[in-house]
Amino acid sequence: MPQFFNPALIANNGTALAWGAVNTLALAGTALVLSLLSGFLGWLAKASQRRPLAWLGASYVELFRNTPTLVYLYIFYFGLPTMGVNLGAFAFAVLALGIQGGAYVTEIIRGAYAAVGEDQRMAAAALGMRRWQSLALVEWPQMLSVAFPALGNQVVSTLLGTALASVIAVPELTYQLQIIGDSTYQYFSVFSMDAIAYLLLAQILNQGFQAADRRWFSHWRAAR
Amino acid sequence: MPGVLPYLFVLLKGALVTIEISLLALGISVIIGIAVGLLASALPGVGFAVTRLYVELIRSIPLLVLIFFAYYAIPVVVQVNISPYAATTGALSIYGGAYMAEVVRSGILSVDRTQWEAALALGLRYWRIMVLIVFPQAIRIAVPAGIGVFIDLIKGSSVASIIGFVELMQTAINVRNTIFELSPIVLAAFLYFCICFSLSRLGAFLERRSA
Repeated sequence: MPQFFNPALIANNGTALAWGAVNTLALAGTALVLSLLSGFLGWLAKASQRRPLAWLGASYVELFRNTPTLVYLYIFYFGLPTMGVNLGAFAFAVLALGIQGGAYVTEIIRGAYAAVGEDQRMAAAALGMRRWQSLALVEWPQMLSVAFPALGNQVVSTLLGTALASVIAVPELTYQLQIIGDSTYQYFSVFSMDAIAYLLLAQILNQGFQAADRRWFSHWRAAR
Repeated sequence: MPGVLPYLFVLLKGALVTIEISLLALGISVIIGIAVGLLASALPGVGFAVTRLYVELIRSIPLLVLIFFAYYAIPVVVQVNISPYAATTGALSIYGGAYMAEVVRSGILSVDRTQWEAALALGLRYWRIMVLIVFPQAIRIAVPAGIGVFIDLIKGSSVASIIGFVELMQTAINVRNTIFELSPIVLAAFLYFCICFSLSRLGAFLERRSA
């Protein structure tokens, strides 16, 4: 007979849950790094003066923002092994989550670049700075302060997105808890714990980002 | 690729189911969103905190976990089986409602303060100002962002495939398991793209027109 809430499940499955949490964080971390990378490349392409490259960048953004994550998980998981690329479920999940997240990061960077504006670039040029100096010393710090809240949201949504990796049997939190649920039928306890775990992680990240934003970035936005 | 052609009609039917359940969830999300958004704007202290709690809670839990909760966990408590259709609709609606509430609230906040001042000067009370003057303007501002939530619901409905609800994603997986080709999933991606991309164009058009 399933109980309403059974805390003993945590004690009995401590190792599996800890391993699940480690996998969730590792998956979120690597997917995030990949999404920042592909987001940066996507922005370089989209902002390019060369028409075909700009079109490619725009297509990347639209394609990945207008299709569900699951589609990419399945395409990589079912498709790549038939082409001889067998990286394992974890790597496929990183690819799917990272490349899709990159489409959102592209738009975050684009928005920040537009917000900094032409006059900052012109002022930097008037001071005799080269293009890369202007980017690194003048524009990039301002872009970061503009984009920081959106980047924080992106980190949280990457974390929440990792739950989907359970469908291709990546042993992260949701997968582990689902297995415990299937063998004990204590689904209420199991999925409450799952929800609480994500809630805690997401709130820690949220509060961390908000504190960092207040400390380092928000006054720059207010001053603009 | 040719293997998928006999199943084209089946996939299109799956797309219709996806649209149907997303529209249903959108309807309920809009009702929840307007109610919570209005309350969040009107209520002081505790009432406001309750609306924040709902929004923050839902936005900190993956949609998959909400769907699992509705499908597996709630039946354990109420001792009634919940169909995949009902679980998906419920979870998507609660999920969309939280995002919609934020859309409505920020719509209300972006209506100019002078509208309130002018209406107060005319002697109107809070709810008459809200319902007759501020809310209609807020909704117009909020529509593009609301379409964004709708796109998220359509993409999110694919998660229902995991509890065996046969919409577009699950149809594509079933066809794949029959013909052992990737093409049905690629085709499903294409269908999702057509639906969501047209909606996002519509949203961008409305945003430009109102700006």
